[in-house]
Amino acid sequence: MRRQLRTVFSTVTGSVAAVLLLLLVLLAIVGPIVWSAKANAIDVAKAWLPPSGEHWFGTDELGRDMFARSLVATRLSLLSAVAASGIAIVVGVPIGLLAALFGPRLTSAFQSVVNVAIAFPALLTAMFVGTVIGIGVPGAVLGVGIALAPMFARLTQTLTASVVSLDYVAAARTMGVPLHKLVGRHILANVAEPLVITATTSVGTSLLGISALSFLGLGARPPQYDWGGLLSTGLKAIYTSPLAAIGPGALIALSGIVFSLLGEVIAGAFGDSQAGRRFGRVARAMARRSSKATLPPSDVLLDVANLRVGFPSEAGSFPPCGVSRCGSPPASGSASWASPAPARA
Amino acid sequence: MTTSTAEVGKRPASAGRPERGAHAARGRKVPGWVPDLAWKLLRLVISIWAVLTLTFLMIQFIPGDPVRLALGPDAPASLVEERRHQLGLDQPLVAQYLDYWGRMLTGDFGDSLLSQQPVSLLVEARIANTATIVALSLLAISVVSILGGLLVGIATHRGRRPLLGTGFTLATGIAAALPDFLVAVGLVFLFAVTFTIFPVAGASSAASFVLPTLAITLGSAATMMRVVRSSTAVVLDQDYMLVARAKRLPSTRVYLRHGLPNLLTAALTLGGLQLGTVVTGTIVVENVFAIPGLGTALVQALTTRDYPVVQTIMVLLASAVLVLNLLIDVALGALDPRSKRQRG
Repeated sequence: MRRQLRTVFSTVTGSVAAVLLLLLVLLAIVGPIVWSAKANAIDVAKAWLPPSGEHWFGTDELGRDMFARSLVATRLSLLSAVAASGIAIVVGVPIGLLAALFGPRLTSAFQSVVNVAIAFPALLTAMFVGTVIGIGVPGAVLGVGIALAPMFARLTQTLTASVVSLDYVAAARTMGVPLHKLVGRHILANVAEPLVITATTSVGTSLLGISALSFLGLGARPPQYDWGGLLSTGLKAIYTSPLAAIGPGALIALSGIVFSLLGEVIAGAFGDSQAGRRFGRVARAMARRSSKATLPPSDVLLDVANLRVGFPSEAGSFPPCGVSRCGSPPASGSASWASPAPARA
Repeated sequence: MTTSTAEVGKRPASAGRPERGAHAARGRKVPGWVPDLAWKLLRLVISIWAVLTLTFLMIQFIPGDPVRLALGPDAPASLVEERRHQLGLDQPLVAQYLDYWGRMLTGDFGDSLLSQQPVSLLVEARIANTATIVALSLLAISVVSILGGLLVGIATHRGRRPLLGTGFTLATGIAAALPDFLVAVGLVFLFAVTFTIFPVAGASSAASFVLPTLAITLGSAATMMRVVRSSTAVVLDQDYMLVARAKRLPSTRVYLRHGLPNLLTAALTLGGLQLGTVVTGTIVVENVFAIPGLGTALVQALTTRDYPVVQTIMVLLASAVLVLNLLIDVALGALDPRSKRQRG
């Protein structure tokens, strides 16, 4: 993890994205504490003022300072985006796991549903959910979360399917590892990297989606406000004080870009090649497995030249089987170093 | 040479043995594309059934009394009861469902809870504006991304003109990252404040559609252009392009006849995924530019809980996406027989 962090900061893009993210998080924490009073100070006499030294982005219809409001809105905007991504993961990942773990018939049914769900417009899904549970921040967050869930489901299913057939999973299965442990330790741990990357970029996607809903008046409603809501307020005054719209708009664009940059940088830190980016650790583990012969001696935990494993029976032992070629469960069970993940612990 | 021989080897196999409906093809000499199309149509029908059922259930899912929610706490009980009856909510669920189907199939979408006007009138008045924006955007996206991507792909092939390549990557990266509502607001700012060439509100003339189309096109076209450029780079390195050049074919023929069809598959596949963005883009963009279309009607109906309007517009927009997706799927199958085998 430390090595990867260092890789993130070693690139210009990485440092820029990380610093910007830090600033955003800081703003989300500090913003409402420092600027709340100014953001909520109503002064109707000062309504719709153009930008000035006192009001950088001008004022809204009640004379509230748009700049302070934009800063305060950081918390709600970021929190709802993170929450929506969280919902997408919590809904999507288990569905993808189930589809990959339990039989080809479930997989194909899953695929035909998910393919339609992914092509289905996310904004419509979000609006549908918003109608059912009511317009507001919870509706927008849940709506965007559910709209993004199929993406996570498909990614998890594809990744899990590629891991599930590997020897160490078969080994763990024959060793009687309980399902929850199998999923957590042996499968999720090995597909985590692409999921982390997608989760990072999906925060940006959620932020844009929720902002769009709020902008249309289907998200945060007064007295709550986020960047999308401020943008639609600012749009009303675009002739007199364009900064009132451009300010929140720029913040939305900036955070969207920060999260997608961050995703790219994390992907770069996890694996350099396109293939490595997709399957990260799994790909490396497979490469390691196929080039065992060239491993430096210090890396070898277990070197078995003539391993013989079999079931005791009257007719003697079962035909033996070398570890290197044959992935028969008992053999690989006794040599469980084939699993890349637990070897670290 | 390996790729082209592989293709030649694959083609007859896929044409003679489609994955599904193989029996029909063997028995009565049905052309290979018939079962394929039938399968796709079946999928479309199932998807539309799902959309209709979900929009029907939408009202049932709403906790509490949906009509009371829509009319507000001050509405008299008699009015609430009347509207409940109008929506059919006092009927048993199965009867409601059958009635919903009957109405949707005959184009009777019910009456608006607010205006008491038939929803079909509203749709008739507004669908043209929305359809125009969607059609113009799709056209603009296809033309810009395919031509632009192809030209830049050829110009920067194998690291030539590195400045253009970097500029292209940067520009399309930024354009693709900007969501449609921000682009729309930016365009309003530019054309309302600085240049006043195009109207920024209403749908009074043909010029009113320029900015909305531009707002939807920018992001999708940038994404697609990148794909077209990278697949151009792949296609240009293929042996058949070398052969076409070796035959001294004119370069327009080399690129348009031998290159273009081969890069369309990747572009079309991605285009299918972009469709949803384009169709929902109109919802957002119509609201920014105050165009009386389905998108503005939908948002208004959502805030006022006018259920029949919401249901109808959602069904229409979702069906549009599904039907356009089918068309792309069919076009993809016709363009590239190989894709049938993979997609099934």
